[in-house]
Amino acid sequence: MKTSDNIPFLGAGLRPHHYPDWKEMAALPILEVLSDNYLFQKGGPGLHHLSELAERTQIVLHGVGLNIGGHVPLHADYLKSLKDLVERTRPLLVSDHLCFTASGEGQSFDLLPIERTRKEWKHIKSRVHEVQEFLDRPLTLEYVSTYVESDANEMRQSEFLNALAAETGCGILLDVNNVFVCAFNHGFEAWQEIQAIDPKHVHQYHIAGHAVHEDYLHDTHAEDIRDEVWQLLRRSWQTIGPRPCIIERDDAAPFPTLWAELERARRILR
Amino acid sequence: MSRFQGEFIRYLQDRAAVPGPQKHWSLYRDAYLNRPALALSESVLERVAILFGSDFLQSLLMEYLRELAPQHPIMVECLRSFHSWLVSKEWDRSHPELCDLVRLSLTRWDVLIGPDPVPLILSGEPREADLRHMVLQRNHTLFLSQGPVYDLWMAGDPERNTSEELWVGDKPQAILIYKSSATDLETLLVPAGLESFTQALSVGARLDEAIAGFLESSADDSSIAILPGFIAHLQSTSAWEKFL
Repeated sequence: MKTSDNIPFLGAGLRPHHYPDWKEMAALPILEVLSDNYLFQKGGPGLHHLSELAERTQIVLHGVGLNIGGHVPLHADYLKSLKDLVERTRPLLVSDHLCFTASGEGQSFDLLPIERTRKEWKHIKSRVHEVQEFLDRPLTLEYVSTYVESDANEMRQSEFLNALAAETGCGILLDVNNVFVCAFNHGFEAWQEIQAIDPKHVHQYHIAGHAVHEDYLHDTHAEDIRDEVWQLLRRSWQTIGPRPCIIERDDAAPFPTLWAELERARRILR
Repeated sequence: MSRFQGEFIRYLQDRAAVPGPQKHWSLYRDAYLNRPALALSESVLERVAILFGSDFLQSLLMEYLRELAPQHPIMVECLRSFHSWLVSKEWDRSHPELCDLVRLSLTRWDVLIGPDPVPLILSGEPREADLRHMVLQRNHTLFLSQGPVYDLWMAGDPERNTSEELWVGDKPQAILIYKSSATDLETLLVPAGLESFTQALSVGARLDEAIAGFLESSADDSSIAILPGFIAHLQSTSAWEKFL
């Protein structure tokens, strides 16, 4: 039987095809749950396995549908269901993304870039307060990958997130792969951007793989993590300090592949 | 309301021009319909994709999502109008089995994520007197079709040995769907002749009441003969909710 060899702060995204592998382990790392996959449910295998695993290790909840940057009202039933999941799993952290996913025109299942203006910052600030009050706990917001940028942007993501965190008490989920992807796509220096993030607001790290195209990088979570991104994580870890660090993998990669990445992270971060 | 966000979503829906001069807006537009169509065809509608072809189903889903823009943050919830949309396009006339399987797929999903059964502890075979108190789990659905929906469902099993011949009949079939545990969903063919008996259970009759009603009806000998086996199967798959 495999064990996690007591990896502090280290964890992986929990995906249904890996339930049996995790459940047979004697010791578990932190597991990050895609909260949207468990919302609006009263029972079933997902909640069953999640509840069992939550008894044995620390869970972090990670959502995609909060629409914190949106201009339609926060979805009340979504929030209620998220709160139920929080009570069920007692997570270490609850996160979503600095993006919008819905407007009055409809819902997207993608993380769409916001306009990083002072006006939008004030709007999102009030929504972060609303969510935190409802959940009665801090929210953590992820630095997202983007492929286009609004011409109206007045701030970098690092600056926008720092100011949000300082004002609302929310945390920052530093996805080093996303910073790497954005840096390439928009022509800035990744390490410089990470250094601009205030370490005291960083609650969590993400690391993942991306696809390389001719003139852009695509954050797919479906490839092995590239050496440059591992190095970025190592430098961040040394500079910002240890935080829960989750390896995201969204393809159908077998468990040994995910495990190998966890082992690599353990060696690099040791 | 943000003008930028409204324009962005309208662009994704092909209802507005590209919002800016940069090159990669189309990455978002391509993903807008492709992502949910692919995810749904690989999950809740997996068997529909197996039987009708993944490309066909995805193109149908994209057409549906283009016409009825998703409004719910949870992807599967956006399928709620898919069956009625198919009917509005008269797919129920040209491909009734497609509509049936879509409806069945969503029905199974709803039972699966519904309340888990409360385990019953029975020692040995229930005594006749015990039958009085047995009712079907509340979280169940009796799925009725005008076609061979169970045969089709089995034909779409991703784990089926495709080298084995499979018989798909032409008679209407009924399926009882319930959970035997938190993780196990039962999709049980109601034997021909036992539909009214199962219907009685489904609307809340106790087992003894359903049996009495069935025997008082014009049940034929062959249906009566298969009743004990069907009840035994319900028993072995934890179909009962109450045993007081």
